[in-house]
Order: sequence, then structure tokens, then C-alpha cells
Amino acid sequence: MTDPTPSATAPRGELERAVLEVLWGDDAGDWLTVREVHAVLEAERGLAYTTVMTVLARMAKKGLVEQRRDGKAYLYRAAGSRGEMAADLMRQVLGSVADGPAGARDALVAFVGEASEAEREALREALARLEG
Amino acid sequence: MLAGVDPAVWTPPALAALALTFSGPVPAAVGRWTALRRTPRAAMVLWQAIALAAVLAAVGAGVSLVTSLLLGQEGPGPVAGLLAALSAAVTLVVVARLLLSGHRVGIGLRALRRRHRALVDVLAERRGGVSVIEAEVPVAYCLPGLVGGRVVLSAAAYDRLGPDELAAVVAHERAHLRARHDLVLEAFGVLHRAFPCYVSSRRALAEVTLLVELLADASAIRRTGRAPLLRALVAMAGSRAPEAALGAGEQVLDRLRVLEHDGPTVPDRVRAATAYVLALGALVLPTVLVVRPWLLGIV
Repeated sequence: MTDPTPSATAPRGELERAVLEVLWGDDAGDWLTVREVHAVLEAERGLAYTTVMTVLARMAKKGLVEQRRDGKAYLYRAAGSRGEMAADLMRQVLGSVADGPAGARDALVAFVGEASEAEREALREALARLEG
Repeated sequence: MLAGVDPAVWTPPALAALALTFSGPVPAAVGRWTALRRTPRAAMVLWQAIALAAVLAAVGAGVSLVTSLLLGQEGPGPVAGLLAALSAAVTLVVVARLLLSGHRVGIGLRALRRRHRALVDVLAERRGGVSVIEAEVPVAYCLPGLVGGRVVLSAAAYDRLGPDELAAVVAHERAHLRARHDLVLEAFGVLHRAFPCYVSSRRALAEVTLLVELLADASAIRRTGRAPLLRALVAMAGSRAPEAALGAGEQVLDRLRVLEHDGPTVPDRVRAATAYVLALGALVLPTVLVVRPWLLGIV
């Protein structure tokens, strides 16, 4: 199956995940500098400093990490723990996010939503007819 | 005909009548024409034509009334001037509501999707072109966007579906992404938000929501046949917690009816052709019959 997403996006998600792993890895939840994050990622993956800096800046824009200025340097930490971000994701999927003008209801459209027992029975019967 | 009467004087009321017809009785009638769902593409074209014709007729009525009042025989009298100001105001309100609604809905939807996509890209596991998120509820959906769409499944869904069922779901979601169904839904959502009362905007939105699912189902059936799609529907249609608010759930039986239909038959094709002709008529008829004499009148 061909991937509809441009190939540049797949490695990008991967880099962001790697950065988050570093930030999550700090048990104290401290703010880390680009240098500190880079130190880990250079050892793991041989990433350049500028790459890490760019990715962190982009993640801050996306709301995946929080950014703070300390003198000349920027400090970063994850927007939430892994569990919190996963819960955030689920909340959006289930649509219990407070509805804005459009609401999560319209942003994501499911393959099929809830069905009553009668509807599910109708589906099963139809399948039996089709396959029987 | 009516000798000596400027045909352009009939333009504003005719356009207004068309606007009223296309925003009330016509959508109601087409909504009852459920057999047309068997040819969802033709139905979609018809609905879009009706919506567009209604908006154009409404705005055109206002504009043509203003110009015909102001560009009268010797210049506008005070009554004509007042009427012109009133109708200009009403027309501007209609246009402003549409633009404002479009802006709000557009910004809101894109911001939500952007936030969601950021989380999906970073938390989901990519398996065969699909993003799999950790969730115990079986869900499958697509995330449309200009930069690149995503097909997202929960781990529960991914594990529950057999390979051909998964292919059917993915084909269905990819059809949504490819055809940018989100834009059609957004347009009708904007209309409904701008004019929630007195016009059939809710009915139109509901019907178009169903039609995009039927179109995506048709694409999936072309890919995998009917059985895998039906099995996927059986596997995925569930009773979830009340907070679940992903759309396209309530129309399961309508989708089933179309899915089971052995078609397109000759009557189906005739219906579709009729729908295309009606769509063309909806757009062209007001333009030709009504706007032309008005344009000739002021040139």
C-alpha cells in the first residue's frame, strides 16, 4: 500500500518522538537546554546541533513542548508526561474536548460511529445474507 | 408579454423567489428522494448545486434590487433610496454571516486538526501507512489536511480487523482524504452555522454527511468487495461511552441499504442523469433567465 503522506513527514515524527523521549527521560521534569538534549541524541543518532534546535523550535510551535527563555538560551520541557499526552489524544478522539466553533465532532469523522443494538443486528444479518 | 415594462424589474423578486425555493422546498424534496443515494456522486453534485444556487440567488436578489432602485429612470427618489439602503443592508448581513462563519469554522477545524496531528505523529506507531494509537476503544478515522492526510486507527481496531477488513477501512478513509470530503462538509457546516434556522441547512448537512460516507464506501467496495467492508462495519460499529462524539455514526442503516443494493441499475443511472440535469438547471436557469435581462438593462 502506498503511503499518502509525504516521506519527509515520517522521519520528522520520528525525530520529534526521539526528542520527547529525552525530555520524558528526565525524571525530575527539569527544563533542558538544546545542548543537553543534543548531547543524548548525538550519542544515539548522530544528530547535528542545529537539527535538534530546529526540531525543538517546531515542537514548541506545535504545542508538544514548552519553551522558556533563560538569558541567551532557550529551555525546553515536554508539554506533558507521556500518559498525559496520550490521554489528551484520547480525549480529542472521543470528542469530549470543549467544543469550539467547529468542535472535535466535526474535525474528525470516524469510519463508523456508535450504533444501536438493532443497527448492529441489522449489520450482522446483512453479513450473514452476503456470506451465506 | 407585458409591453413597456422593463424585464429587469422582475429580476429581484424572481431571484428572491428562487432563493427561497432553493433553501426550503427544494432541499426538502431532494432529501426525500432517498433512492438517489445509490448514486452518491450525482446526489452530491445536486446538493452542492442547490446550495450554491440558493446563496447566489439570495445575494443576487439583493444586489439586483439595489442597482435597479438606484439606476432607475431619472435617479432614485427618497423611497427608492431607502429601499435600496435596506436591501443593501440585508444583503451585506447575509454575506457577512457567511464570511464570518466560514472564517470561524475554518480556523477552528484547522487548529483542532493541527493539534491532533502533532500528537498522532509523535505518539502513534506507523504500521503499513497507517498511524496506530494506543486506545482500547476501536476507532478508525482520517485526519485531513493540506500537508498530508493521516489514516488513524486505535490498536484495538487494528487488532480486531482481518487483513482484508483493514484494507476496506483504509480504502474508505483514503477516499475521504483524496477527495477532500472534509472541504464539502466544512462548506455545508459553514452554511448551517451562518443560517441555522428557517432554511434546510441542517437537512443538507446531514444528507451530505451521509453521502461522503457512501462515496467512501463505494471506493472501499471497488478495492475489496462488499463482504470485507461489511465485516469491518460489524467489527467497528459499537456502543461506546456517551462522550464519544466522532461523527458519521447515526446513518448506519442508510449506509447498509446502499451497500446491499445491487447496482447501479438502469433506473439508478436514469436517476443520476436526472440529478445532473437538475443540478445544471439549478445553476444555469436563474442565471440565464433572470440575470441576463438585468445585465442587458443596465448596460
